Amino acid sequence: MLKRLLGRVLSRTDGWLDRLYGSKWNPLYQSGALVVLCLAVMLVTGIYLILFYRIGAPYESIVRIDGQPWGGRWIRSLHRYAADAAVVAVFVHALRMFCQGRSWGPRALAWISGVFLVFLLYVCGLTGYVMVWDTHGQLLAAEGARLLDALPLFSEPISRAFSGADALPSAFFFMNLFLHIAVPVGIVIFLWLHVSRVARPVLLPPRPLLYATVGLLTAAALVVPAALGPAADLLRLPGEVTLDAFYTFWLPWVRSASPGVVWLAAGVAGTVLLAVPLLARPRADRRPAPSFASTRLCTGCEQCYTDCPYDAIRMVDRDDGREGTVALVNPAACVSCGICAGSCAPMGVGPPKRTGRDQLSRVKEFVRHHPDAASDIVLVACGRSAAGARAGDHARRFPVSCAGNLHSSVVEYLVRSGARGVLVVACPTRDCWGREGPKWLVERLFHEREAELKARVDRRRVRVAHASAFDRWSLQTAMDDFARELARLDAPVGDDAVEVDTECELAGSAAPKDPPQPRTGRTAGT
Amino acid sequence: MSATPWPRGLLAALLAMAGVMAMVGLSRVGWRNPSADAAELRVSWRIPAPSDRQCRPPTDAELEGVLPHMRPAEVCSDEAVPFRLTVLLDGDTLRSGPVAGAGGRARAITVYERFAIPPGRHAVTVEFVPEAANAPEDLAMTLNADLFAAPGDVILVTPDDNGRLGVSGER
Repeated sequence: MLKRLLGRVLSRTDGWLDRLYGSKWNPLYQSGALVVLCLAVMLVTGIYLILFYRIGAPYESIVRIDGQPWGGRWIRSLHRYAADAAVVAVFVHALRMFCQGRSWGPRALAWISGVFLVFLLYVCGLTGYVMVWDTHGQLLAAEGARLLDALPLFSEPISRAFSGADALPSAFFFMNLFLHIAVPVGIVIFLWLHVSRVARPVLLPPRPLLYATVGLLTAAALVVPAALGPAADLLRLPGEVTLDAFYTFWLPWVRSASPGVVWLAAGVAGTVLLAVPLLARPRADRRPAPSFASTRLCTGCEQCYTDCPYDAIRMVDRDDGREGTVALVNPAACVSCGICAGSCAPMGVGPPKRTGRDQLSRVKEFVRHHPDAASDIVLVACGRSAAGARAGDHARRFPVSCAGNLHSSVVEYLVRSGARGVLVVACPTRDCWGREGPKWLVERLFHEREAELKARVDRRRVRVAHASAFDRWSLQTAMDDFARELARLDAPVGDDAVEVDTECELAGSAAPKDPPQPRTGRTAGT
Repeated sequence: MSATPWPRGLLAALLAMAGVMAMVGLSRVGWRNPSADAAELRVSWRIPAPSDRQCRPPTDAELEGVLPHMRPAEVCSDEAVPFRLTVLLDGDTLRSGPVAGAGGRARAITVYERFAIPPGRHAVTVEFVPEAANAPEDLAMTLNADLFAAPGDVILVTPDDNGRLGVSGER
């Protein structure tokens, strides 16, 4: 219920921002890459700041940095705002993955490592605030010590260090600085783990978005420098404090709560977050089955192995007496995205009921039941795109689970059956649930990538559009443009008897059934 | 919303700027710490834990179980001296209870107590006395002070170099 509601809000927002920025530059689709960008900005600015930071006089060194006429202040502000932007991007990214159901099964590792990444990001942020050692940092350090004292970790209360009886030792600031620098190393390790199951992780946003993000953060740092409170005074209770809503929103509540309650709340929140892969996964009978590869049909071309966005396919030696290798799907790593179904020329790989052969059977049925489709534009609609739920007035809708699954033979069949045009409506390139569906689709239809659209197909009658679920404006624009262009062409002439050659299709019925695939590891979703 | 590119571009830029400024605004939210409306009395020190050492000659049974060259001349036991901390504010008890050192064999006794107190003039009494009957009297520390605390002030009661309790932080 909550998931559906949040998903709807997110989709609506996607639609608005798509219209405003275009799906290519919509920052919501780049949330993960924006986090990495912010981390990179923090790293670069942090290296500069560390040159001037003094653990013997932390506050004074920050004041000196802020006083540098040629940049210290804005570099510190940029460091700070990049940290805030990272939290915003992390929140959007996590919400997105949760709402899109991309948090369970083979993706559980990414989710759990993501939770640890958030924890490390917060440790890094909070130690950064303590480093400044203004009243905000003082409050944070004192509260942190009070919470740690409630745990059976230390033989003496570490809060006493902040009693004011003695000056704070430099060792405290050294330890804090060490954590602030060492934790990012942990972030890099977890980041590697986070993307380790993805074949081609995208770590940075496209350049225009990258420049715009850094430019906006820099402008903000120049115009509104980061706040610096009065120096910490352990013999004075901080009164007016400037909090950072992204990192220290919890401070007012925690100060009035007992440490036991705070630890309990943190434990419950952490457990729920870590349990999302279990809580969010569908019932066993609703989980999509992983892909399988037919050893009989597989020619060992390695295209599915190359295209798989999750490295779930590997090539192994054949054991059926034929030469070469054969594709083998690892069901534990397969998310059932179906990208492989579109990559296999002989249609021998893909999730059950979604292989190229299954698609071809469906499109034959579609043409048989809609003979009038010949005069229409056929929308081949990704279920998660704007065309997933509706078609235009002059279009027929042929639904597919993902445009990246689409086998080029389906498009060929539609065009050769006499369709006026085929408009494949995919998700935005950076928002494909199978990561690379729209990218491979365009390559297959227009750039000769296996399984390519055959040269005999009139490509003027084929187009790909990208429109998120609520971006009806882009869909309508694409349809109108396509219809205008098609109007300039001659009426389509369909083949009397369309026979799409699929290499092995004719042999299919006579050939013996595939032996069962050797399974390794767990089944998907467990 | 207009479909022409430039108004959309302008709107997109404005929205991006508004988003960043909202983020900047949220990164500097003012908050009034309600604790700062009161003052705080802190009692803080750390002293080596005095021990009550009792020695006696070993019994024959104890000697029999030890090799001849390892037999001790006497057997001793260390008992940490328990203390009682009492804090009074204007005659009202804020804290009264035993204080023990940390660990199985106490190495140090750490006292760290914080009390929110109303701003104004107060009579403060702090007593830290050993509870063992035969403990030396010079281990006890006491303070009787009349002091003024403004809102947000921290009044720190801590021993000086001579082991006498004093007050710092009073303005």
